[in-house]
Amino acid sequence: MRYVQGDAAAASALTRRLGPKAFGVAFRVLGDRAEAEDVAQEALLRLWIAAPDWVHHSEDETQGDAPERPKAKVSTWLYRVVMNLSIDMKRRRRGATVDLDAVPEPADACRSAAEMVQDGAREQALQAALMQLPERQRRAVVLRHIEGLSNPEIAEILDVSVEAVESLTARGKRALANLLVARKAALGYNDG
Amino acid sequence: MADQDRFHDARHLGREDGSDMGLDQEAERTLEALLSAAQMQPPQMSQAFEQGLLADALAHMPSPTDPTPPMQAKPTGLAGLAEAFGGWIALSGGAGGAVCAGLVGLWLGFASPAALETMTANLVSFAISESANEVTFDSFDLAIVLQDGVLEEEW
Repeated sequence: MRYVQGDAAAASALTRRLGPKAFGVAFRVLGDRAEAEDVAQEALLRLWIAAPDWVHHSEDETQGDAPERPKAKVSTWLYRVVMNLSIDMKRRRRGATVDLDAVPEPADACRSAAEMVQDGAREQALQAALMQLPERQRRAVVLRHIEGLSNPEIAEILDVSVEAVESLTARGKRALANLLVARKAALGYNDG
Repeated sequence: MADQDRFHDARHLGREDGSDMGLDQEAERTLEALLSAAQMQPPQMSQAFEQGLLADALAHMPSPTDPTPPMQAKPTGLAGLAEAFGGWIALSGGAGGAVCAGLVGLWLGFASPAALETMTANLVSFAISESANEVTFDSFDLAIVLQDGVLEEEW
């Protein structure tokens, strides 16, 4: 099952695996589905186009006497491309933010429906709060607390020091909590 | 998430027991609940969009009949010299290796201690410069993933 050898099943498996990752992180950072789709599509396109070069490079290495070298995950490469494309996208449309107060209050109809609405409200509230963070804090918080990456991985993706990542995630998390605490009751977190 | 990372994050908030002092406890619980929910329920792609991604992947997938890329430039320096002799294998084993070892032994017999020190220093210097090149080299292991089409270990 090899993409570079023209295996359609490999293409499908890779798309199902990488697509949601690229789209998810792009959406969290950009806060807009259409833009996230554009970024994810472009990131994966670059992956497919680069594939033959990567493979031949790897073959050249295995034929030579190159010593073993540390290898980064493909996810790190993809996240970095997505982040850079997202920055470009942001530059093209400066200024637009989501209003935290515009998040709808949860309804009180029947319980299951209320839960569904509440889930949606929580999701929107988190996204709205994320969008109010400074750019660098938002990217660090998304990678750390939603994607679950380690600080060294995030440092590599954002091209900053590990210490900078620690500072960004800590300040970002504190700011997020302050933004969300005012809406705690509306989001159903008032019982403890 | 690594415990060490948690400790460093907490340190930036002024506490060393793994929790975030800068946050009100309730606010912290609220945030953790929201972040956990976000991890469990990532944004969903539409089916049409996923189909578009797959179409891209198939459109750019190399055909088995595609020509191989042009040959790489010939090696230079020490590697080039080895290539001229028929590669490292020829120099390190078989008759070539024996000839090489013989020549080195002959030289060592005649060489002064000072010359031997110089030779050792040169060999160490060569090894260090090779390592430095590796460090600066881009090292994403994309090829293996694309070849195998299996990502379980990577993700």
